[in-house]
Amino acid sequence: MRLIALLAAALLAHDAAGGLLDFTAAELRAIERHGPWPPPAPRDPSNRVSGNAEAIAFGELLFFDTRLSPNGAMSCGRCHQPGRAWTDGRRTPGGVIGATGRDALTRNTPTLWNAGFGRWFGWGGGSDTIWSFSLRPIRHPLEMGSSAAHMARTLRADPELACRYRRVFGEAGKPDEALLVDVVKAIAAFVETLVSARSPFDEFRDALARGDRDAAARYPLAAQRGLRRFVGEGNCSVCHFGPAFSNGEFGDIGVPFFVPSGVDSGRYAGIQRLRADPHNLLGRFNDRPGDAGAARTRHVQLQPRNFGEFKVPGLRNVAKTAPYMHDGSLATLSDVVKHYSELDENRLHTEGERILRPLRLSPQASADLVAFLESLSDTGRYVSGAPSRCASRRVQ
Amino acid sequence: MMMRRILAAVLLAAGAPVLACDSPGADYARLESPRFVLWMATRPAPVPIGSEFAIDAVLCAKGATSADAVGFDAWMPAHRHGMNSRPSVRALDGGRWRAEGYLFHMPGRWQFTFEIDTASGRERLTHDVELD
Repeated sequence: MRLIALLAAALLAHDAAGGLLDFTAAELRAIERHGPWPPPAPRDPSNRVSGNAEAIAFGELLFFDTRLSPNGAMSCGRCHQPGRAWTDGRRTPGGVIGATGRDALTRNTPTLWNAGFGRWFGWGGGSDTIWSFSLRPIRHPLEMGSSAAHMARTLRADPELACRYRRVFGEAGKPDEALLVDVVKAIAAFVETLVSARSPFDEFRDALARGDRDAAARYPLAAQRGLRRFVGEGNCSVCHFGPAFSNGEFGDIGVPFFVPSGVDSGRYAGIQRLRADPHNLLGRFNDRPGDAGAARTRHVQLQPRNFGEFKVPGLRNVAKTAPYMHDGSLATLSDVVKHYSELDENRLHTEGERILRPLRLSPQASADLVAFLESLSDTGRYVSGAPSRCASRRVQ
Repeated sequence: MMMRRILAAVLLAAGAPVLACDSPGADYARLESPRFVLWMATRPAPVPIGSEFAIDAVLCAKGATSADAVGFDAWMPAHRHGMNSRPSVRALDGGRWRAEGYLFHMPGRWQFTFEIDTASGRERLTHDVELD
């Protein structure tokens, strides 16, 4: 016991003094794959206003406008709050909208940080673009409960919204449904701009890449040890891959998928929903139907193992997006690490991937992994980019 | 893993002429089974992780055997899972085939598989790539 205490004290002293672990060439390659950051701004070829500054400003306004819901109480920003890393900070949003039991929304509100780099959207990946995904909460009776008709009425009646719409899309005299699709494309253009800033990990990764050992040694040793486990024996980076720390796909990690109304089958239902969605990339609302991006929707296949799979979330700013997992069932990052440490393999599908094994981490190793995950946070804050009023500018 | 039966299959015209088995290009890998040679190249090369790619393939029979169908697939033997996508196959000129819709969604060892059906049974050709 005394020896353990002495070792722990020595370890802490060593951490405080700084230093650099002797990473192997394979570890260095694996670390380098998580950058550089930020990558070029994401663009969506299916959205003709992706990257358009006027559309982004319009989308930002719409994102926070509660008038888009018939009861005037809900907006995208009510659940995706900038001050909570674009989440609501709740296990699930049921409490926000007052629904409980079988009718409650049973999935955790995901962060929107870096959403623009994804391929599939929603925990089950039921949508292949941000704009088509946005239609779901807008129409869902337990969320905004809106409709194309309400959206069009609101937009046409408000001089500011009408003015901004005109600037981005032209006259608003088109059918309500087409106008709604334009609205979500503007919202998507805004959401694509939510790219997290650089983190302490990025400074470390880049220092390693350029061979600057002094700069790299400023990264805490606990985080270095956690990172080593993340890219090594933990196998975490197999799915949490690349600069955004997600391969953009889905996995079954043994989180129960029973909900009050039965079972949340995750990716399985997501693919079914995607295929049935008239707003998917194969549909008529895709602004560039011949683009290669639509191939992912054409080729996606439904497999039995998709049952109970959920989206692999990106990990940038993960320390700010608690609670965790698709059902929000884990309150802290320590709980998440504990989940993987004590993984119940019986909960994984028999056809499941042989990637996950209980890590059986010591308290120190668990703390190291948490330290690494915390080092993925940026220090940036959301600053509204919406310019001055559009309607008044027209008058002037 | 329950290796899925042919994911993306192309039916070959019965009695198709035996093609010459010369390399179609320097970037093609040669795969061989008792009765067939298959050349394959990825587009682009090397294989990207996390984005779609295609393969070009040329199938040659060593003798008079003709292939009835060829199945295109890939999987990760160590993880016992395949891809999340199902490639589609179309014919190009010169006896070549293009299979589109491959996506390798994680690093590690992937194995391309080609299952060739003939009147007298199936032959399987494989090609491994390590994605780092």
